[in-house]
Amino acid sequence: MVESAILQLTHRHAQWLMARQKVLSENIAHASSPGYRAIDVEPFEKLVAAGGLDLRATSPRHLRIAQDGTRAIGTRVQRAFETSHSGNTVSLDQQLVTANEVKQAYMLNSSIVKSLNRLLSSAIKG
Amino acid sequence: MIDPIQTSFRVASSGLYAQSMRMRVVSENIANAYTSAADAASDPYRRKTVTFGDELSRSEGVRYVGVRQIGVDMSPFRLTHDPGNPAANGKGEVKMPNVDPVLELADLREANHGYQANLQVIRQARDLFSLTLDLLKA
Repeated sequence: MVESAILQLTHRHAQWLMARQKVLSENIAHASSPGYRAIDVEPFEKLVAAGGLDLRATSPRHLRIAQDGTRAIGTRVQRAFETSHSGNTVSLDQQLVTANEVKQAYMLNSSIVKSLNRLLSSAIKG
Repeated sequence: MIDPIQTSFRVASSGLYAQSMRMRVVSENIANAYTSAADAASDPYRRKTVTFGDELSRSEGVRYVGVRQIGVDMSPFRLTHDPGNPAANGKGEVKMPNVDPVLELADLREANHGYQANLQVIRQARDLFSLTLDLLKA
């Protein structure tokens, strides 16, 4: 069913956005920590390409697997935008711009889910 | 899916706490910028510094921020010529604190920016939370 595929994709995207929001809040909180390097989550394209379900572990300690069995979203060190004297690479402006991107994307995501819900309920009700 | 938002709240609040501690220390420095010693033998107020550090929570996989250390700036004191001062030495010089008010104000401004950015994170996390809750509304 197309609807369930869309729902699955929006679900994965929302998970990715939430992981990104968490990482952004860590970066902003560490804006003055010496030696802290700003991190970001891996691109969503990479996550979709991986299929989300390709990694299986026989023990929970083998690989990082999210609770629902999908692959946990990885993080990486961001390319340094600016480095302060203390070795900190967090740029507050850049982080806040990214935070805004996350919000816009989440608004789009939730609108898609909402309209899909409307579509399904109108199909059921006739 | 809500859990990362809760984490986001907690991380931002650790940031708010750290930045407010920094403001506290800066205000202490500014308030004591002219606190000389009681006599020539003792030292005046010494500038305090704050160092932030990671507080890793392994169970949650989150890096909170915390105040790692409140240290003192060991740079030399300023000497002013004020023979009438009870803390003046034989040459009429008084040791004044090694606090530079301009530097402190710059630090205060930076702490202010950091505090505001953390508040923005809390605002955004709240918005994302309510967007998620809105999905329940028909």
